[in-house]
Amino acid sequence: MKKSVRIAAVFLLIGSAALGQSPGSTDTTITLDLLRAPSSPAVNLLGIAPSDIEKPSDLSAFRLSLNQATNNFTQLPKSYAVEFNPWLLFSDSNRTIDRLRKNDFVNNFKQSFTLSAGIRNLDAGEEDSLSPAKTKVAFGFKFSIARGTLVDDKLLDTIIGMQKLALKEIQVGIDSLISSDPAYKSAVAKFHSFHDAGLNDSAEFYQKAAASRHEVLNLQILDLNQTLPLLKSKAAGFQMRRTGFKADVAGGLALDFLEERFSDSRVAKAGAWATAGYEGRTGWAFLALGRYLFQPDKIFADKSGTVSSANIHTLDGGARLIYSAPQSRFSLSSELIYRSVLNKSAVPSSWRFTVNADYDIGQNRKLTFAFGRDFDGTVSRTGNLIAALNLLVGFGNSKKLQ
Amino acid sequence: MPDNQSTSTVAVVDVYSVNDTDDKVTLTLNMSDGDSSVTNINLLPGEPGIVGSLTRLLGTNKGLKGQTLTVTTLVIELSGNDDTSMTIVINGGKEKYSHKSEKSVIGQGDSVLYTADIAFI
Repeated sequence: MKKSVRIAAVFLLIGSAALGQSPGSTDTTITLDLLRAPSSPAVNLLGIAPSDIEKPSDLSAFRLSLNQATNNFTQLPKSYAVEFNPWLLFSDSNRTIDRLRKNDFVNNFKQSFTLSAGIRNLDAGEEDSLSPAKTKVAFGFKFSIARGTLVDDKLLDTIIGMQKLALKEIQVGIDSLISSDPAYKSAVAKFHSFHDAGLNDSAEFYQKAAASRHEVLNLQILDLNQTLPLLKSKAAGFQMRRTGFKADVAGGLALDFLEERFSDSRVAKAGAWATAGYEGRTGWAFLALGRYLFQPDKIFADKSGTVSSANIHTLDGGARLIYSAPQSRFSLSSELIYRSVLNKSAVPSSWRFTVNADYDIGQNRKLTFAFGRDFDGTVSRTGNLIAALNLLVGFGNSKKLQ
Repeated sequence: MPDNQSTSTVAVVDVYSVNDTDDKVTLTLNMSDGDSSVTNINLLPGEPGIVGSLTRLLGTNKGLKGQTLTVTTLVIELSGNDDTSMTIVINGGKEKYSHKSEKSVIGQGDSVLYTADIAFI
């Protein structure tokens, strides 16, 4: 608690820097989340709705999806977008919990890497001046470098340990029942004798006998097992939440085919996104975002929206710091956003910084503090230092104020 | 499913044709995403309680003929989607074998015992 008070005091001192500035408020419609990487970069650059993305889970589904989109491989689709993880599509599953818990680069990359691709053929009149071609193709990728560690990592060790114990007990039960089950032993003996004699129906006979054994005996063994109920109670509380350092990268490229020929293409749009952050277990979280765009739909730094984005390269970024622990009276959120155009001086770079902090002093009273600098350089607060600290008082019984 | 509704079983019984060569036969088990699994394989007695998906060499075609592969896998549903599965793939014999077994459970923490008996003929 003392630590929270000290933190609050630091922000009060920061607030004193706002003395003498004019009152106002920052534009809260612009947030750091605007800079986040799209879920599917290629599709985002093409302007296809995320709900229209095909996400095949295996090769058969992929083939069927392509077949339908191309009218049995006879024509280019009018609008088609697909997103898949190559390791999951072309090889074995890599997402069992023992692999998901690992946080090394190879596992993170294989499990999170997604490729996206799309094609869009526009009708007459749908073209825009920046991207006049009727046929547009886009490619994109996305993957995680680091994903943090499982909060319930130790619980998972306990679950796997109990699982091994349960399987050991079950195996003893199965082996015991098999050795004392004359019907099963007889079936196996007959299977081998039939097989040795070259009889064609030996396999079918074995299947029937062994299937019957499984149906009856497995259920008896599971019913008698004492470890499974305990395992169930432990596993029911497991959560996949991760904390620690996390980092993601995404990119995409959209091409225009001007004369609808593959030999005549040009880059219509491009983008790259980087996200990194740290989420602690004590309530602290930090997030930093960076975004590069070529010929964006809208220039983030151009508030008026009057500058053409033809051949424009933009670089935007930001950071966010949050403290919100469940048992703490103090909470804090601070956000910095920077936006710029790399190759056009007509649009100046600008930045915004905001701080919101509050301290619950009990009895339905909350001390709040807000301070910010907007993109145009205006420093915002609600009065002098004393007035900048708002006191919220609630009526009725004590309850947590939002 | 038993009375407590938290455990269930899925059984696979099949045959796999091998030839008289020394070509190697491999077993791959792919378990459902996000779930925890532990497996015993009777032909690998030195490796009890293998965690997660796996690929193992079982032996040669000639050496496996007449033997029975028994796989016993306990899957605990942890992903929250209530679906579990086990896909068995055997390579190296006369043809590739692949079989996917699936079982839905009531909730997280429920267990499914997958067993497979595959005779090499």
